[in-house]
Amino acid sequence: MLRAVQIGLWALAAAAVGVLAYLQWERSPSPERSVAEDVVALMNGDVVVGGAFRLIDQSGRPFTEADLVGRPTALFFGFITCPDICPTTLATLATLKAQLGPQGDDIQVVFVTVDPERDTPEQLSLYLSSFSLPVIGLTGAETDLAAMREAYFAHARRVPLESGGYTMDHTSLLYLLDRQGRFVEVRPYGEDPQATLAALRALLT
Amino acid sequence: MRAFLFACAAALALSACSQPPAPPTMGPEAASTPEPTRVQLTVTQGWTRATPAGAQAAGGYLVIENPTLEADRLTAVSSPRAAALEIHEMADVGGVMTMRAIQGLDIPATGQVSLQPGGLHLMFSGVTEPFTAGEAIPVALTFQNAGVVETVLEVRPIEGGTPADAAAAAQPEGEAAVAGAPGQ
Repeated sequence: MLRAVQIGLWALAAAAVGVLAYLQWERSPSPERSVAEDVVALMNGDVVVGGAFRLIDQSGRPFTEADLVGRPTALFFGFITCPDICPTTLATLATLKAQLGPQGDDIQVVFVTVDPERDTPEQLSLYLSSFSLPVIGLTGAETDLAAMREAYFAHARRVPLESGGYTMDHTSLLYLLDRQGRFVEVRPYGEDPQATLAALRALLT
Repeated sequence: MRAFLFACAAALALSACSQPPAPPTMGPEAASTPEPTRVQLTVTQGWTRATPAGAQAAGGYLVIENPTLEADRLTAVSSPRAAALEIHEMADVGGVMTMRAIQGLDIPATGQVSLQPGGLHLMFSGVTEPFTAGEAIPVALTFQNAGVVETVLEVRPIEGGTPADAAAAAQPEGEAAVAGAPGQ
């Protein structure tokens, strides 16, 4: 009898964890904060961005917030099966870094996937090798990625496609961090590239 | 990149070039001499981007022009190079990129609709044979009135052709001069 109750409780706990995980996924980072509020807060610099996270890079090595210290960082969220914005962001960064000259090489570019189901380290490694600039691709368990997004006030949502697959809606901002790994500002996707260039240059000073 | 710069220089020589540099269009119709043609819906300026390794999705861009006095509607799209091709609408809604499939696309009478990066586009999914720069991807578009219109999308390199490249190309001196063209 006691054993049955015990099993029942465990089942209940497991179900609760499942529901919570689902809610987290659907409404990450947290239900009470809307996407729009977070973007405004990020643009205004009204929030403390960043924190501890533990992910892995495209060669399977752990990558944490400690790895953001030492070099300025340009970080954004994306996924491989993204036809437009992700390759455009990478191509734009390649051009802007080239415009900065050798100094630009100091900036590390970090691509954090919002689609760990498809974006394994192997896939990330393959994908990122197609670009002329070195990029650190990060993936991990969905819970770890969700926690990282929460720390960066970023959002991601899975959207089913008619063809049977799915796509991801996601925060499209470019996050700039200084040499100490501290958040400096976000730059909106599609802004005048000269403005992004000026922001990258400011990171190097 | 060199070809693009040359095209831009040529464009500058011909006109004041008051508009932002448009991607060069090399369609056969560009050079054709004016001749009496039937007024009909056309699809031009088709392009896509080379797919990064392992990426099975790509966006397709083109311009649909409808010079007729009757509105038309794009109802279906297909390509032998993708498991599925859909019409998508993408929007950056306040810092979040969203993408949705749409069922059809109205083409106004005597009007045009552009499918371009950051907005309406064709979405290839299940691309098993990668798109490589320089090749042409066949696409068939089915319209309510015009019927099936076949076109090809020119595959452009993964890098280059972004607004940042256009800005760098437009800058005659200084920074742009030291910028190496990526991907060459």
